[in-house]
Amino acid sequence: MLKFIITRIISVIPILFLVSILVFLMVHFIPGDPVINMLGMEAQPEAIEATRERLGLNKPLHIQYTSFLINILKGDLGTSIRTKKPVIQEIKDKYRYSLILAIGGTLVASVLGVLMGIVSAIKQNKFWDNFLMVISLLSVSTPSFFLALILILIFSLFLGWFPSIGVYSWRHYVLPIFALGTQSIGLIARMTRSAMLDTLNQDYITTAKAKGAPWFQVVFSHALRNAMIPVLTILGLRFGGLLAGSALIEMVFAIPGIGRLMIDAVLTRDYPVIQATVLFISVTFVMINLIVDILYSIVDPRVKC
Amino acid sequence: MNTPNEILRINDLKTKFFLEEGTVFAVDGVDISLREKETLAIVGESGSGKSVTALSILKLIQEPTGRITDGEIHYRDRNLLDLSEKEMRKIRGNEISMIFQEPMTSLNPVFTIGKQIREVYKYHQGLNKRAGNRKAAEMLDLVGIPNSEKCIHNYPFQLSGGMRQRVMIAMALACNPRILMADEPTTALDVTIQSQIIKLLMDLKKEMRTAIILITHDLGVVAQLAENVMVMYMGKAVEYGDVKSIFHNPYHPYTKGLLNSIPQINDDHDRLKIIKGIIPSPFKLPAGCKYATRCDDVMDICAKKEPAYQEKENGRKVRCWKYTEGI
Amino acid sequence: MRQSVLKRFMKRKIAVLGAVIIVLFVFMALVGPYLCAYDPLDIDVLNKYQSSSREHLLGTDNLGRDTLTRLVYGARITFIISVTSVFIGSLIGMIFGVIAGYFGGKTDAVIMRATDVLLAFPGLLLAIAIVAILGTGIINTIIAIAIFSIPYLARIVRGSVLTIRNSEYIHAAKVIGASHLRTIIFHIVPNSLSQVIVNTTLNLGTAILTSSALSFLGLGVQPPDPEWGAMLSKAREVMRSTPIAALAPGIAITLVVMGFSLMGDGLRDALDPRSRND
Repeated sequence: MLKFIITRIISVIPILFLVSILVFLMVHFIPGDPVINMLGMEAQPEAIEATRERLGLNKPLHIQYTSFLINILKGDLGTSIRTKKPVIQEIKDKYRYSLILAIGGTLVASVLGVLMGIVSAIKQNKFWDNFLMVISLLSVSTPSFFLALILILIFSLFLGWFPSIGVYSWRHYVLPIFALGTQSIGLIARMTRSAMLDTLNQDYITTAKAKGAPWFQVVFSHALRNAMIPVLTILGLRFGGLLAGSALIEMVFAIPGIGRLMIDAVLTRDYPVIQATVLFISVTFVMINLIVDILYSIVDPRVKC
Repeated sequence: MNTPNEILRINDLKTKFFLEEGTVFAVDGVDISLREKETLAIVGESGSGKSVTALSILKLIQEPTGRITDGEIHYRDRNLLDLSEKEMRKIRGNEISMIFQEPMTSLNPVFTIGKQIREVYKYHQGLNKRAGNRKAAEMLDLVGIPNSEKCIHNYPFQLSGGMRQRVMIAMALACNPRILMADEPTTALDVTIQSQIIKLLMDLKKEMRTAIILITHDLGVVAQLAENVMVMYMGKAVEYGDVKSIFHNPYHPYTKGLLNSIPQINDDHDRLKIIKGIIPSPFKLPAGCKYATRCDDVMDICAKKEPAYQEKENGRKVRCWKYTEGI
Repeated sequence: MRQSVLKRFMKRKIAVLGAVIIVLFVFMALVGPYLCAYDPLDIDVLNKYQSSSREHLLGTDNLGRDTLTRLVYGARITFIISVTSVFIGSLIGMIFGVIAGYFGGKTDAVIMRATDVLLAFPGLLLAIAIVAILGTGIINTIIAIAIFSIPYLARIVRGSVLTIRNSEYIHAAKVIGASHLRTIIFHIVPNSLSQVIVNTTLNLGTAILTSSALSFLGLGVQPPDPEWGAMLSKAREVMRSTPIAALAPGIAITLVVMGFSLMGDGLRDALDPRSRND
C-alpha cells in the first residue's frame, strides 16, 4: 500500500515539472517583447531596461527558468504589476473561496449524481429512469453562468431566500455552489447509471443473490462498490473543471476568488498574476487526481499490484 | 409427496424469456424428483435450459425479461413459487445453494474471500465478523485450501481458478444446505484441476447431508458423481433414469447420440461420432419433437406431434415416439 | 452498412430530436439573417431594455438592439467558432493519436506525456491561459478551443489505433508491402473513424459551452459582435426588469449543446456494435 502511494507520488513529479515549464514559457509565447507587453507601449526605455534587469529577462532561458522554479519553491510568485503587491499574498486570501466553491460543487454533484444514477439503473427504462435522464441532460447542457442567473432570478430576486452577492455567511455559498456543481450532476449520474447497469449484470451479483443477500446489500454493497471505480475517476477530473469554472460563478456572484483574480489579470495583462493563478489551479488539480488515484486503490484492491 | 425422503419435486416447470426477437421457451415442462443425499445430473448441450432450470429453483430469473410462467417447485412441504421474496432469501444460500461455471467472475473482485463467505453466516445465522471469519476459515479447511487463516484476507484476483472454485464451494456449503446446485462446476478449469474439484465434490458428498443437482455436459463427470440422470433438449426433459441404465441402455436417440460422441480409447472406429445437424433456433422451434430435425430414427409422426413424457420400468422416463405404445 | 447505421440512428427518437434541434439552428444561422428586420448592430437607445413586443419579439438590449436579430446572428458566430475549432482540433488530435498509436515506443511516450500536460490544465483553464497569451477575439477563441480538444482526440484515436494495429488485416497489409502512410490512411483511419465522429459531435457541445463561457468572461468574442455568452453577460445587469434578454441567449446555448449531446449519444449507439441490442 505504502509502496503504491509512493510510486504514485513519484509519477506526478514529472507532470508538475512540465506544468511549471509551460507556465514559465507562457510569458515567452506572447508575441512581442514580454516587458513591453507588461508595461505597455508607452513605457520609457529606461523603465523597460530596468524591468528586464529586475525580472532577469536578459539572461538565458534555462537560467531564467531555474530561478523561476527556485522562487516558486520558496513561495515567491513575483509581484503583481497592477497592485505592486506580492502575488502570493493576493492569491492566499482568494484561493480559499474558490476551493470552497469547487469542493462544495463536487460534493453536491457527486451525492446527487450518484443517487440519481443508482435510481436510474434500478428503474432502467421505467418512468424514473427516463425522468432522471432528462434532468441529467438538462444539467449537462445548461451553462453554469446561465444557471447562476436563473438561480438568482428565482431564489434571490423573486423568493428572497438566498443572497446573490458576496460571501458573508454560509447562505451566500448555497446558490454559487449549486450553480457550479449542477453541470457535473448529469455527467456523474450518467456515468453511475451505466456503471451500475454493467455491474448489476455481472456474475458475482447472481452469486450474491444466491447467497440470500437482501436487495439493499446487493445494490449498495456488491454493485455500488464496483460501480464507483469508474465514477471516482470522473470525480477527480470534474473537481479540476469546477475549480477552473468557478471563475464564471465568482464573476456572477461577485465572489473575490482566485478565478476572478485570474480573469482580471488576463484583462489587465498582469502576467505574474496570470502565471501564478494558472500554476495554482493546475497544481491543485494534479494533486486532487493523485488523491483520487490513492482512493481508487482502496476501492479496487486489484490496483495495488 | 409420494416418494419417501423426497425433498424436491418439480412439476411441469416453464420459464420463458421475452426478448425483442421473440419469446424463448428456455424451460418448457420439466419434472424433477430429488431425494435426500441423492445426486441428480442434468445433462444437455448449451442452450438446453439446464442452467435456467437451476436459476428457476432459486427464483433468480431476471424479471421482466424472464419469468417462470407455469409449474410447481415443492421444496420439502412448500411450493417455492408461492413464497415471498423475503421467504426466498431465507432459503437461498441457506437451504438451497448454488455454485457457478465461472469462478473467475462469480466472486466479487473488491471484497476479501473472508467477507464473501462471512456474509452467508451474517444473513442466515446472524454471526458477527469474528465468528463469521472463524467459520469461514473452517469451511476453507474443509474444501482443502491451505493457509485458510491467511486466505480469508485475500482478494479473488490473488487466487487461481481452481482455488476460487473451492471458495465458491465453501461458500455454497457454508450453511450445510439441503440441496447444492452445481452449474458446470468444472467446465472453466484446467483438466488436472477438474479432477481435483470432482474428487472434492465426491468426498464432500460422503460427509454431508446435501443432495446435489449437477448440471453438466460432461458425461465423464456424470458417471463419477451421479446416481440419476436427466437429459434435456431444447427446454424439455427427454429422458430420465439411473446412471447405469442410461449409460448401458439409453432409450432416446439424443441420449444415444450424446453417449456416442464421447471419445473412447479402445474404439475400433477411427472417427468420432457426432450428432448431425445443429440445434434449431430458439425462436423457430419445430412443431413436433424438437429433436426430429437431427434424429436418426425419425418417423412421420415426429415432425407433427410432440411426444409425451412416458414412464417406463424402474422409474425411467422417456419422451420419444419410438417408445410410445399404441401409435 | 451505412444504411443500417442511419436506420439505427433514426430508430432513436431522442437522437432524432437532437438532430432536428441542430438542423433548425443551422437553418437559423444560414437563412435567418436575411429574414431579420433589424441590423444586429443598430443602436436605438430610446428603445433600450424593452420586453417582448410585436416589434421586438424578444425585446431589446442595453443599447436598444433587437435581441432576436442578435440571437440569429449569434448562431452564425457560435457555429463558426465551434465547428472550425473542433474540426482543426480533432484533425490535429487525430494525427497525433495515429502517430502515437501506430509507431509506439518513444514517439508514443512523448506524445502521451504532452497530452498529459495539456490535460493537467483542467477545462476552462487551458482556454483562459491560451487567450491570456494570444489575446481576445474570434480567431484566438477558435485557436484556444482547438488546442483544448487536441488531447482528448489524441488519446481516443491512439487507443483505437492500438487495438486495430495488432489485428490480422493490418498485418496482412504490411505483409503485402504497404507503406506506413498507406497503412495509416487506408486501413487505420477508416476503422477509428466512428469513434472520432462520435467524440467530435460531443466535443461540439463542449466547444460551444467553452466559447460562450470565454465571451461571458469578456475573453472571447468582443462587443459589439453578438455572441450568446457575451449577450448573457450584458443582460445580467437587467435580470429583474428584462429577464428575456438573458433567458433568450441562455436557452439558445442550452438547446444547441443539448442537440449535439443527443446526436452524439445517438451516433454512438448507432455506430457501436456492442450497444446494438439494448
